[in-house]
Amino acid sequence: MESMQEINVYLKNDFDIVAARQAVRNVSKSMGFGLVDQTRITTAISELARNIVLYAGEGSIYLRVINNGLRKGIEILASDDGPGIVDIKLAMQDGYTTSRGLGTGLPGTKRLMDEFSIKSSLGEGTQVIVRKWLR
Amino acid sequence: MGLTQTLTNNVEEIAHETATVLKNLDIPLINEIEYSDLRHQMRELVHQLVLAIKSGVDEDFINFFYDLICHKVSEGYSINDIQKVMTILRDKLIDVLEREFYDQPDKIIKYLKILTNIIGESRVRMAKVYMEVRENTIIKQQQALNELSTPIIPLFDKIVVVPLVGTVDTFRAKQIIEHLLNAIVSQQAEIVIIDVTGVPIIDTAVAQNLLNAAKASRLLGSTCILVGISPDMAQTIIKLDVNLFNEIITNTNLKKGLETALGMIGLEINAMQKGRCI
Amino acid sequence: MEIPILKIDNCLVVSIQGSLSDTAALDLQESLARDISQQEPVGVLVDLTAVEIVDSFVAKVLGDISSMSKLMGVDVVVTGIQPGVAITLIELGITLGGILNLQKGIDLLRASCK
Repeated sequence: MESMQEINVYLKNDFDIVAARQAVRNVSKSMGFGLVDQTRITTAISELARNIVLYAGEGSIYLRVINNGLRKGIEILASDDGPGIVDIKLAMQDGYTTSRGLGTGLPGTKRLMDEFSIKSSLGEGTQVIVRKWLR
Repeated sequence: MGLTQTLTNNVEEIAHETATVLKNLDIPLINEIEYSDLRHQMRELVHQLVLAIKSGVDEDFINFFYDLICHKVSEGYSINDIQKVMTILRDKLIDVLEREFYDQPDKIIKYLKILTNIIGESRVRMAKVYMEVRENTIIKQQQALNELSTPIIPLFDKIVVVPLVGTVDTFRAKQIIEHLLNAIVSQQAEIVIIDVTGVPIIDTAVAQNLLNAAKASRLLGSTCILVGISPDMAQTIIKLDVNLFNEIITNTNLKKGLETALGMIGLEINAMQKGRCI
Repeated sequence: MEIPILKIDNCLVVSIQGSLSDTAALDLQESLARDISQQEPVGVLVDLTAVEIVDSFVAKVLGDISSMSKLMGVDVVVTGIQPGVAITLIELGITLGGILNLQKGIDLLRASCK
């Protein structure tokens, strides 16, 4: 297998968001994703990373190359120990925001990736896992 | 006498009888095979089962079934046909067991267990390989389809046409949008005419994708004109909750669309003066 | 790293390069507001040709820059969005109004300069 299959980016401020973006851009590029898919993945991670910095203060982005036997893909786990999301259904709605954002972060991220799952419990934090498969 | 020895001794009979039963099943693909070939294949199958009983499910066993199924699938056998063959073979093997060990019921039970295990294992292997082969075929077909990408035709200065033909699913739509946007940038197109004459059905997803194409084109400074919506399609679209027409200019057909497009860049088509016709 | 704001004729031109951090985006918004009031341009051109990603935050800042400038009587033209960025923005569910390619943007600003 190739090296550089796993990367962990610790997030604390908005420069770390840029670092997370760059890491995921590099990995998706080296995996052979097209330019548009690279942009989709990078943007999705930017949204997840920002949510962490904005709502939880700190957290991490863990990305790795996965293989389901037929296709290669990239998996990103964004996790934090922040306050958690009160109403996930609401947070997944377009236009809903508790900050001054556009409210497109989570629903938009879901549209940009192939798979999306979110787990959040109040006071314990939030984990989002997204995947994109190489066609 | 043990199980493997018994099977080996009776292999010719088993091969003959299963081949005969298979021939009588009226499966077209099996009818095409010569009886002697079929018998040989059955003999080979029994041989593999005997080996597997002796040495367990090893790599040879797995490889044998892998090759066998790949071969059979390429010949066009369905998983049903393949399973039917295994059923017939199993029944015949049980017949032989019953006959050879009729006076030793405990052995029959013991061997029956071994036999059902190994046949079960074979079936699982076969199904697994079958799925793999099919999935690979699907992936290959998908790739082939992707390569038949939608052409983006430069129709005139600053005008490109995208003729859509066939069903547009979300994956294909995304690819088309990518191609389209790249073409807009590389050809400096100001107007994009999307012709959906060849698209049989426009459902919510397709309509949404068309809308996305229009919006994305606008981000690059181009305008979208949608042409070729059939009367049926128009009726469907108005029932869907998609605000298609607020975002895209629509025209009946490509001809009208071209006129609109030319008008937007300040051009029109006129008849030539007499005597100047070619 | 501050993003340079150039003055060409009567227009302000901003060419953003590479990955934009949130702070840099907000800084740009602030310095543009300052420059618009000081230099009184007829238009602002923001070129994104060299920008690889625009996420919802940067999109919001761009939208804010646009409406802020309008309040100050100045039109903003955003140019050079990359195809991948355009698709991503649409899929995110973001619509930015008034976006053109660079040539058109320059033409537009030229026309308004006269």
